[in-house]
Amino acid sequence: MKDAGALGWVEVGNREAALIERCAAGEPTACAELVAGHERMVYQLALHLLGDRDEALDLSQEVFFSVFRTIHNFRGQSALKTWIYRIVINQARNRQRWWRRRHKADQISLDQHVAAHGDLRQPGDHTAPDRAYARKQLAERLWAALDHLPFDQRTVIVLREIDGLSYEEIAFSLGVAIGTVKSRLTRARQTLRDELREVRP
Amino acid sequence: MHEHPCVEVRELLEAYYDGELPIERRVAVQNHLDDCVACSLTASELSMLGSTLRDFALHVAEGDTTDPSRLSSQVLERLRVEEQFSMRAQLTDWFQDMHLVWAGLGASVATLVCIVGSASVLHATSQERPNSMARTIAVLASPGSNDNPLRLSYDMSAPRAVTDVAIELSEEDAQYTFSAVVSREGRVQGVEMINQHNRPGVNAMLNEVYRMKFAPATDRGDAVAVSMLWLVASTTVKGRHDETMQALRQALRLRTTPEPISALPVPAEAAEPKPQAAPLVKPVVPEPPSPSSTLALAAASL
Repeated sequence: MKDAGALGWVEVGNREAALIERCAAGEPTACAELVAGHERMVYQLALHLLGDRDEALDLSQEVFFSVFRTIHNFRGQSALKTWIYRIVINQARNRQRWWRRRHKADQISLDQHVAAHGDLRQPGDHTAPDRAYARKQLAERLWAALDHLPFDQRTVIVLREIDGLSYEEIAFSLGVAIGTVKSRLTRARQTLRDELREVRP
Repeated sequence: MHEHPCVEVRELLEAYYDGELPIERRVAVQNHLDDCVACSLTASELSMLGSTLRDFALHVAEGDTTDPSRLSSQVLERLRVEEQFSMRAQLTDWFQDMHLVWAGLGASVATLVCIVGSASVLHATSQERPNSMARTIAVLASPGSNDNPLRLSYDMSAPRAVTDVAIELSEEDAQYTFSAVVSREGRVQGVEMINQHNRPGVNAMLNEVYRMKFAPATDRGDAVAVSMLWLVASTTVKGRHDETMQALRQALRLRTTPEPISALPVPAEAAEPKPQAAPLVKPVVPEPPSPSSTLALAAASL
């Protein structure tokens, strides 16, 4: 099994290394640059993991605080992006435990979302309405199923399918072995595929 | 026809789809998928799952009016403020829950009261009143201290030297008087010259005295500390009388084996001139020795 944390500074680009060093020195422009470069990524992941916009925004802020507090410990053991992912996941894991219990009712369901922002279709998608309806139904079922997955499985599938991380990067972000990533991914996909099959017999 | 049976391909399918297979296995799986309808259906299911998730994520992102770009300014502002007020923020944090503050204060005060209380109790018990019964008993139980001096009596025996010490004196005639205390353990303490001599060899002599070991003085069998007054005289004797030599020898022997004061031999024939080194042993009790009184006693003995 490959060790997920065995990369060196060499792996991190020179530009990124310079940015990190400037951030560690407390340079405000460097910090601003780092936030600007990663804010969308952090916010999206937080949103996918927590399912609530305000909460995701709040979490993103906390994540960047955590990043700046601990950036002097960053030794290029992974890409900066993966390292930040790791922080997002740790914070989201802590938060969703109580968040899920207390604010489940406040979360935006897909129906509400579609009602507010129009039907679910891809940009430039001009397929027939029945096809669009089927897609909507499918996505709704899938998203609900994703929402019900255990946090670790949901994280793995989001990182793989939406963020496009490799097994190794996911393993580092979660702090687990690559074998664990594979098995979690398999279980998550099995559950979601069962949902797909029910919609599309 | 199939290089891989379907079971094996199904196991590799996810890794194939995720692009995590080495090239030769990827080619093998691809070849199998080209031929096997069932496996390619499973593969398309996987890809459908992924694309649906991505589509939905994209859709959510597009419809999201939340602008994370204000994050940057918020984070930087908070970092700056935090740095400025970190001390104050910490203090405020500590005092946010007054319950804890009161509990902490209460505990500190209680601890302080306990410490002060126990210290005062200990202090009170350690201070013994001089007129208390316990004090009187303690003084009576240990005769020979300043508070309970012993009177000179015939039941007392003087300390006896158990080690032999040779004291080198200068050739000139001289007399030395010094006082010292022989403790209950038989050690010599507080040796003090009474008539100040700055002759060479005096310090060496005093050092030798310190090294002497004594069997302590006893009073009815109990060891007691005594103040001693020694008189050392160095006299050159010229003559060839055997008696004189004998007296000299006797005197020299006496120098290191002092006798009790009651049995102090003073050889009449060696009185003048006489190399006298016989320590005038005088068990005087007050400890430490007071030179004036011991001197007076020594003078009386002489």
